[in-house]
Amino acid sequence: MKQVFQFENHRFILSLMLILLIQLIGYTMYIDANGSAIGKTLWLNVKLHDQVAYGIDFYLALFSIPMIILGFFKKSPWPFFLCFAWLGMLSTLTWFQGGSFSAPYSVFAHANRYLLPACLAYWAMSKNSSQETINGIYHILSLSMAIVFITHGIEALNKNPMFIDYTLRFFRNYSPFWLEESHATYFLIAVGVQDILLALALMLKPNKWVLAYMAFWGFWTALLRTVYSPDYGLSSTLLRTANGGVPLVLCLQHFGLFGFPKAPQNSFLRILSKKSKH
Amino acid sequence: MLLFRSFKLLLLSLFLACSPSTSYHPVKSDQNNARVGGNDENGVVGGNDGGVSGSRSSSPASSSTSNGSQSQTPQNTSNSEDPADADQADNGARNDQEGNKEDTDDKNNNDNNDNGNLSPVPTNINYKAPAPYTYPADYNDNQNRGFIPKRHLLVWHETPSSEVLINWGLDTFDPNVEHMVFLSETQHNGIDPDNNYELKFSAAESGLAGTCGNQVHSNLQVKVTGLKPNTTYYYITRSNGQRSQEMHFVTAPADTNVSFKLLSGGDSRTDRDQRVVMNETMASMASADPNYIAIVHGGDFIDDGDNCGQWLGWRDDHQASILDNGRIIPLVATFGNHEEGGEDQYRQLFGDPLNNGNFYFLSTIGNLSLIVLNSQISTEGNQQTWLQTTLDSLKNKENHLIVAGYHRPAWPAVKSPGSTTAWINEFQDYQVNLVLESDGHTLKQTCPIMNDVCDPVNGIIYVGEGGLGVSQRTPERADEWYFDSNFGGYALSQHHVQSLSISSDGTTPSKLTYEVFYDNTFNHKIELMSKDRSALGSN
Repeated sequence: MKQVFQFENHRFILSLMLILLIQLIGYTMYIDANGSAIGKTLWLNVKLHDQVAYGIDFYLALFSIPMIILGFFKKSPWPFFLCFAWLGMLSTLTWFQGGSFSAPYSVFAHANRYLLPACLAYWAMSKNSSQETINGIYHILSLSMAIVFITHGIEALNKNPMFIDYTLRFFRNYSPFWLEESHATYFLIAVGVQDILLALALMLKPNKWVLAYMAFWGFWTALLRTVYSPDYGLSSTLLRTANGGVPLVLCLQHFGLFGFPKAPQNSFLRILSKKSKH
Repeated sequence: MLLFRSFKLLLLSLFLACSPSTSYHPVKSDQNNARVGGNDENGVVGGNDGGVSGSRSSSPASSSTSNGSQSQTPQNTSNSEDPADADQADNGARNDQEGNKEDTDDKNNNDNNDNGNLSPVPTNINYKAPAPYTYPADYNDNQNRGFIPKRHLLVWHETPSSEVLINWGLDTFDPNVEHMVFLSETQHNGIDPDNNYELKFSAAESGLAGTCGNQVHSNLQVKVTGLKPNTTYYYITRSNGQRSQEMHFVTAPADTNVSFKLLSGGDSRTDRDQRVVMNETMASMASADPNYIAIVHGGDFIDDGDNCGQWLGWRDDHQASILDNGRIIPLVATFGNHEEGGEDQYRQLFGDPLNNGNFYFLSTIGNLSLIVLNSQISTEGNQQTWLQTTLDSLKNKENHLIVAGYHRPAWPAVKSPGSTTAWINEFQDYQVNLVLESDGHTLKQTCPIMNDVCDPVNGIIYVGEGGLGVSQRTPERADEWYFDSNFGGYALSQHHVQSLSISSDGTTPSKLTYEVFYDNTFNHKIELMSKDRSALGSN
């Protein structure tokens, strides 16, 4: 506890920790209901009995929650590194196992999910929560959000059928407009372009309004899972908390609200270009 | 919940530590055994009393002698071109099946009538088994191996009573070579195809040609049209002068008064050994009962739809579903989630019925409308509109049966429901008789579902979920309300083949008998009647 109180001003870290916790709860709920690519790999490729494979799958998710809580209070990087490795493996095996439209994109589309614990590991490794550490975390997270938005933008442009159905169901059920599939497809083109432009804007020059819109859009598209399937969609929404949560935290840094540390002035790309000039 | 899981995991670990094997091989038996109603040593139909075997000696497409010539030894003794004789053979097969059933009465209380025998099955499929014929040694040129036709596949689309998509493969490809299909209603054993066969079609490479690993391969394809319904057609394929053996198939009936049977299942994507076993099982079932005219595959043919090696393997394994006498059972294909990314390969092999790349269509087989849907594209857009329109167009057909099939389950035995839940209202509104699902790798049957409750009067039964090869899962959702055993629901971990028997005279209500074949016997029989839909749906 002593360690935490040293960082009590850094609600920034606490917020990231909260986002990660909600994400892991979502993963645990989702894996309990559906299993994950890790369980599938252990069953189909490693040839474990299906209940053993999916049992390991579930317990990996379940144990990740107390593990990162312990890592936070002890300020130990290892639990976060293990969480990073597990979530990274999950995304990689989702691509490996295939079987869905979005599987080939998963390593990039889930970048914020596994880079979030990596950032917390970086924080846990630092002796004090210097501005340099905070800036480093900011840049890694903004890069991860840019990757996530570009990937989702490409999926939208490629007409991900689930995106079409989310759009159709939402407009048909909660708006006065009756959309046809062709309208939803045009809408997705606009969404895809918007996602890519937001990502590029974030990379070129960090802007609080861009981040605010990304936060809104990230939360909204995560929430659509529950809107689409109230009985089964909650876990899918929760495991996407970082899609809205991470840009919200970065945005609050820019506004300097709630004691959040100031965001760095330079973008990730500008830092890179400066380093390359030197 | 957590304690329960821990206890379950501990028990399982102990069980696995003591168990030599955990995989299911329900239909595997010794290599030399025959099949359902298979032939005894004298070639008598129905001579086998051992039920379905997992193995067959060889399929006609793969049997070859050491000098390169191919031989075919059809095993029906009543191999006559006279339909009456063929009927006799059919009856022989069924009688034997009755004999087999008596051995398993204790397993199947539902299957038998008061006399302890199977209910009579109408014999309306006009199947003419070929007469025995051994191909001469020089039938194919051994030096020209690459052009010897192999990897046979027949696919049905919208009007299988008059059309069939014929595929065959070569171990080479030369775009300048002529590829032909010759068809006849009479057996000619491949002799003088230019003069003996009434129908001739040119085939073209479907786009699959290429080098896969070190293997050059191609797929020749042609959509044959203008066929007569409910007719046995004998055909050979010829590439660069190299003829296939004479294969045969039966076209779908067009009349509503013809009874027939379909085989069904899904998920043959991994475990090739078991996939072959299941293909052999289907061949055995069709060998025992010629009324089986097609296989409805629920999708996930292979693991990675973009992998040419896996498609080659699937096409090779599919040959195990060809009967020993050269009969090919056509396939009705459904697009599965593991075909994602392989849309081109899928189209090049199974065709695109509506030529729109969406792979959903209506196949009309006698008095049955088989609606094949695609769960991997938008389920609420154009496809749902098409489904509504299609169902509405069928509602005034009297004594008509409707079966819908797709891959991702709306009422799963494992995992959460797919986006196919969007179609539940349509199935209910238009009183579809039965819904086929796959993907879960289990055997399941829901209770009759209507508005989220079990309703034995108006409910729709969903069956599945894919047992044609892939390892079977434990059905984690077996305790869901929709598997209420009081209403016929169940969920098991079991490889299986589904059987749909359509009995129809065109004037009285038609009957759909659904059974599941595993453990060498038919199980879980249900009977569903056609419904009066004239007042249903949009009016």
